[in-house]
Amino acid sequence: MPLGDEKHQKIYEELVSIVGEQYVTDDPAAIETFWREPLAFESEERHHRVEFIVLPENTEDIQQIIRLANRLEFPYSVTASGMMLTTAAARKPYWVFIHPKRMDRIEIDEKKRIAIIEPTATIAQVQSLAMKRGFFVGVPGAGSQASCLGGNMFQGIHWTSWRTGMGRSIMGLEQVLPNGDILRTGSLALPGAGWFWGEGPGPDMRGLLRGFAGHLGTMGVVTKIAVHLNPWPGPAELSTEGVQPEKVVHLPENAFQNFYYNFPTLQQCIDAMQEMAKAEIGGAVMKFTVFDFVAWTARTRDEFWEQMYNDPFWVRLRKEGHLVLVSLWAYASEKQIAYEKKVLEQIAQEYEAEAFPPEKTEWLKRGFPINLVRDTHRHRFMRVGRTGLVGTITESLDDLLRSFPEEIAMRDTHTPPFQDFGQDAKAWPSDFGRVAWTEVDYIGEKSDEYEELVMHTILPEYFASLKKAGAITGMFPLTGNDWKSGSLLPEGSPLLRLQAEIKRALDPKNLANPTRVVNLDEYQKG
Amino acid sequence: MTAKVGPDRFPKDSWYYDYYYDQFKTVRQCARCSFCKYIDSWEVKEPRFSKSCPTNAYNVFDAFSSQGRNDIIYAVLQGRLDLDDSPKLLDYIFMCDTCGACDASCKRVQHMEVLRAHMDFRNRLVEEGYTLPQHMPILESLRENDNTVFKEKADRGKWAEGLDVKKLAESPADVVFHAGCQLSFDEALWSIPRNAVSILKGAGMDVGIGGAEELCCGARVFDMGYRGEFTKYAESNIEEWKRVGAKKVVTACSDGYYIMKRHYPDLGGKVEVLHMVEILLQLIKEGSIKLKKEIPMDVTYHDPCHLGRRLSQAPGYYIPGTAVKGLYDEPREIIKAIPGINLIEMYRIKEYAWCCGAGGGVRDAYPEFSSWTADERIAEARAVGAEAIVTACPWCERNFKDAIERAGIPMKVYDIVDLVQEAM
Repeated sequence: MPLGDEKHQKIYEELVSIVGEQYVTDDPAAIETFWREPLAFESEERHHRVEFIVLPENTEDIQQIIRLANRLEFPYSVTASGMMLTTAAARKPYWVFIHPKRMDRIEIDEKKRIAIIEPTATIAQVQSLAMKRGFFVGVPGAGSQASCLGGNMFQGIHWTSWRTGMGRSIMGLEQVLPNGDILRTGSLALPGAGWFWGEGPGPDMRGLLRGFAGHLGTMGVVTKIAVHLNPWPGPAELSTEGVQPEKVVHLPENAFQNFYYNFPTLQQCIDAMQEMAKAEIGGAVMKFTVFDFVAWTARTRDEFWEQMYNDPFWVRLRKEGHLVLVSLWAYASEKQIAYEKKVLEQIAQEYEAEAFPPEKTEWLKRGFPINLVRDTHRHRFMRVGRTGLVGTITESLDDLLRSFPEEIAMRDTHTPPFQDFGQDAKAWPSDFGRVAWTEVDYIGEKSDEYEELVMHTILPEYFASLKKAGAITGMFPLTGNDWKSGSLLPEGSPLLRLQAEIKRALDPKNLANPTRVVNLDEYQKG
Repeated sequence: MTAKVGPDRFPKDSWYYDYYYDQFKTVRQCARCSFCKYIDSWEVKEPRFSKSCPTNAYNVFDAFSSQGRNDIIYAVLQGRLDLDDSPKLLDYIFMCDTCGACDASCKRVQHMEVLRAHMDFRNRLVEEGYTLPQHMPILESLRENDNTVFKEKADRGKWAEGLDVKKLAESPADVVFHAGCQLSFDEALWSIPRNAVSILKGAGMDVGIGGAEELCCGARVFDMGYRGEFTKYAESNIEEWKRVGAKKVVTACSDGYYIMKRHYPDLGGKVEVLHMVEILLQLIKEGSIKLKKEIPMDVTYHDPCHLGRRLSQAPGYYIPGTAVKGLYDEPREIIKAIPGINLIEMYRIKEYAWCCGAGGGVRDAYPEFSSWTADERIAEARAVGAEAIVTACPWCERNFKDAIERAGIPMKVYDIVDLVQEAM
């Protein structure tokens, strides 16, 4: 990186003139704090560094930074809390990282049931205000301390997406396009109409820019969105007991009840979930693995290993389990839970489900159901090493019958050294089971041996399987580790051309997070 | 531990199943989840008061956060960043209250002692000569006058003038009351040690004080990374207590309590160390102290870091999966025992309390940041409707008094000892 050369100095001075010296840095130690995250492959990421970090205060600051980028020709990227930082890590010289950390304002419009939020307002912050008014916003796997805007722009999947939908929470949206123009979509397109709705006149620009996993800043910087608020049948404030990490929150059982089942076969498991979908029951339905249940709930690594590999119940389920968590919510009234419970029990019986024994249900209360609402436990999976994924795609529930056995077999070829995870995998269904985010996880150590295995064996296999399956989207191409193309779409496909042409029209110099989603440089060569 | 996992399979590294402290593995394990920047998500009730890390909230850049410090230390340990590479490195490391809020939040999900890793790195910087110029006057004050607050050694015992209490130089005592630097020299706070000694004596204890001969406990310099200086003072105090035959050491200072309770035993300290909140609660419970006078006031309690979470963040005290313990309940029980008083909790309490801004050497090194941190706490106390803020540490009290004066508001600051005295 040409640290300190004339162009570097010029960029630095201009950034200072926009946001002030206090909010720009190119200090080597500060730069070190913007490259790692849980899924980053360090051996790759170590080679790359941004050159500047800039902290804008508002949309106008970002607009000026992007105009400057076009004038001086430097690449830039943005993320909020940084859970998926490799989607924005540097790949070229003079890279400016826009960290909108000063932009965390929240405005609740109770009447329209929306929260208008800036990039670094956290989910817990938004939720705390929403709950007081009888609403909640969904929490993604990134946790409640992550950016509410970021999660919705990325995938828009929440633990409660079964009922509330995937990627459907965004209403009005404001973003600075790569040419420096400010785009306001949905109802915002009509002067004075406000933030209340996602679609406006003409083509839905939100859809054009969002896609299945957002545009990762390749189409500019989203500065503000309205997210719709869902009804919340719980208390206005969470009441806790104890001191962390022993702390517990008990949600009222007349409003929230969790049920855990093991199905004899994957087919029966999926069929049962489809039946639940048809009956439209459940506030959340998740196909979890033993790993998920144990990692969320265990308070220590010792407890994790003990439960996962020595507890007879979990050991059996690891070998033959097809596990589902169903969380029933009293959105309308307590009668809703009573009704849904009756339907659920009928479905469970029809598909020969085995309910978890009471002692396991009791143990799981440490982690569920509160973490489906305000997740703090899911990150416990990181205690036991680093989690990786051999299979991560968005697909239909039925496609699990194909993908799970293939991906589990792929993982098994590397087990050991990976730990024995058993024969189950995770599916995160949304929209009453019409679509599911799936994961076939493994855990590995933070070591060079692990990096070598993942980078040069598992990822190529995973890519090949995704291409073969024609999956809509996978995780790793998006998180981007020097992949030549950020897209899984076949070369020459009309959709790839459309994406590339939109990108070229908006960002002809390819400065907005280049190489991600559509690698314009590669596309233009081709 | 578990037979089915072991060196021939995953994980090969025993650290993943048999926890022990390792600075490199700790900073490497950081996953940028950002738990360290916010209070426990379950506890968030107001966005304004949902951040946990003063240095990150003030400076905004992630270099000023536990995650950022992990990254920086990782880079240094891996040899990718030289200590001379960054003009701001010392600020990133030393502009931190060492309040431990990040560490408490991190332990929600990880088995990590991040504060310990950062403190060890401070110590390394100091040992390699990378010291902060702003810290030098504190060190000079300590070396010349045995205190960290730039006062004359001869004046150290003035707070006890006219008080009928033994001087340890003249006669031995079962109980040593250690006033500490802040209480010894901050005249506005002298009522605290005076009331404390009166209460101890009233309870029939054989109390003695060091007076002008008392030495700094070393807590401040320990947190600043000067472990050699700390050891010198700790060993001197331990020797003195041995000489006078002390069975107990009591203090009203949370910093002093933490260091004497948690670090002196490593240097041979065997005397029982108690904070006044422990003594007061015991005396109230056994009826030796009767709280008769009504104090009709809405108060809030500020948990000093060193009386709270820091107690379970000291080396050797972390047990994975167990609560980040501290003396949270004792002061609250005392306050609730006072007739007429109404305790209102702030948004950030106990293990996720916001710091007062006086710790880790920042009050002297970064006064603006220190003041801002205190201002934020006072704003929080006002937001919950408190008329007074009660605490149990003179460093917190001084920072809060200054903040209230800056704000020009009528809020009062009480030490719990004074509050109890008033209610007796």
